[in-house]
Amino acid sequence: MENTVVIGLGNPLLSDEGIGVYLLEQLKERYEYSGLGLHDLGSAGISVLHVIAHKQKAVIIDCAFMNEKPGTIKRFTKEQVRSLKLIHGLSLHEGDLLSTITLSESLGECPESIVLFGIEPASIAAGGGLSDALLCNVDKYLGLIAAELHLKPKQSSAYLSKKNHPGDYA
Amino acid sequence: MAKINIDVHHVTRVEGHGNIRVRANDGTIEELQWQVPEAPRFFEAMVRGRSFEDIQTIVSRICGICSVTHSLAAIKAVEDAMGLEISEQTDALRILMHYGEQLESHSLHVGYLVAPDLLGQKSVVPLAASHPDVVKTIIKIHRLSNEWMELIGGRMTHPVTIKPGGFSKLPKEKELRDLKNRLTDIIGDLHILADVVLGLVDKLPDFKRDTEYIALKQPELYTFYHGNIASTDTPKVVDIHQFESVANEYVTPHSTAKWTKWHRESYAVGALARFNINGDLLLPEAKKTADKFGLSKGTCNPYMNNVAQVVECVQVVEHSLELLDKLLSKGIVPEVPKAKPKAGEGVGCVEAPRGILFHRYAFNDKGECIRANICIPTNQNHANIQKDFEAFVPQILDRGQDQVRLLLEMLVRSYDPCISCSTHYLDVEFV
Repeated sequence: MENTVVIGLGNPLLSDEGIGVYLLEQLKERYEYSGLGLHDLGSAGISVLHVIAHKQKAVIIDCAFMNEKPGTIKRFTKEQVRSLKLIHGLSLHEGDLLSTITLSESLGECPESIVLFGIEPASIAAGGGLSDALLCNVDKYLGLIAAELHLKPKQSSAYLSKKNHPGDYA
Repeated sequence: MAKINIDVHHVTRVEGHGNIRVRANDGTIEELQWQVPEAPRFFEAMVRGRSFEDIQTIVSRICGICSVTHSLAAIKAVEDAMGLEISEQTDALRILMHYGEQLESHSLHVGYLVAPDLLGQKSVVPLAASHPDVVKTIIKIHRLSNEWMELIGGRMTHPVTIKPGGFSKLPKEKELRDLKNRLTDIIGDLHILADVVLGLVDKLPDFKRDTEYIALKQPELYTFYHGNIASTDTPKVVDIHQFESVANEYVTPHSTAKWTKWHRESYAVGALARFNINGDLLLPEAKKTADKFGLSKGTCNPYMNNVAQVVECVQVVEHSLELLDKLLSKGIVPEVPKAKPKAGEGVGCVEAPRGILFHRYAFNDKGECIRANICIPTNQNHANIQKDFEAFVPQILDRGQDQVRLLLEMLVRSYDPCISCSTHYLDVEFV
């Protein structure tokens, strides 16, 4: 069983909100990842709880409002940020990743290391693909994430890589 | 009587959510509204031009909690439009997968949103410290249901194996036998969960309002998947192809979501609606659970929807064990789904955890979607929540602002609404 999991979060139908899912698919396509668990959890943020349980390390990629320039990527841990989300708890569908990690900690099943990669969106409008501000940085994002995970590019990927249409959901 | 001014309000329109607005002065209600200011997301427009083979995958992204349900409603509509027949095995596996999502959603709702209310905590996070055994039981159930959906759908959420005519990948018999063992084991945990809720059920407000309930109905089965549309107001059932004549969608000034009505000004869908229509068809363990709570057909306290969800957790596991026995006795037969496009229109209807869900699609002769209509359960409950507010608030106005606010929040929660679940971005500041 793999000890490290990589999770892509977000909704590819909502422009840059889907960047986590897009980067996860690109990682699969361009890098050797045997021994890692790669999970597209889409907008089911609470499922993170189950995927990270009892692992040593989790890397989570998500769209993040950080008051930065669109396209900025930041690597951070839970301790380095404070959530600004307003959660009223009226619906299951409100989610806060940081609370899910706190719950995992209190259950005693949280990985020792959780690294978050947040990417500042330019737009999370319905129906669009990734914005240019993010698309032109995809290689940089992948390089940083791959370095975090010590991944090597697939030998063939430089010339065989099929560019997924940003916003593809499958 | 003191002034009451409640405004449970979300600032961001993008993320949507519902707002509770109450203003009262000296016992007179001046304003009382359930508002849904969610930004429309036009999923129906997004599927236009897309292939009939992709619809179920696209619409699964509408919701992170009911992604299987949306996929199944879509695939049923696509197969209806294309005139595709599916095997008994495919049908049974889809129902099995659908049950996984019912358990996932109900256990999450009762455990993460309702239990903290009843145990006096703000959320499940502090509950894990104050009531660790309860939370561990809930998480065990929720984790199993996630892995169950992954086994059949290929992913915990947003399934990828559902294809027109069948599945792209079938579970192995050994995996289904393992699932059967785990489901047999989880029934004990479900009874523990039921007993926890039973010990707290007196804390649910005693509020009743005569209500029209609507759900799928099928002979001899407490159905979540097949059947016609039934109402507690009439013995007649309506074919799912005429769902628009049931929902009668309309718009209101204070909500961007569409509202619905059938025989009255509003109706309710969800676990309590299903119970009120099909409650006499529960399997033995589920019936025993309903009896423990004294839950009987005709219950019209909306807060009891949470109890009906507990009963349904047992029902779906019990029926899944029957389905698994049938599947395993025949053995899993390899099948390759075959589907050719043709022009046509189809309807798919299933019960989402939070109520009846309708999808309609029309396709051209290349199999490209030319029209879509999706009618979700939460929208069907909005008018009913408003009517509950109007009946309940005058009864509780003397309890003060904090209590009124809590009781109304609990009322909204009891409907288990799906409000704006399609975005889950982080919103952080660095410290």
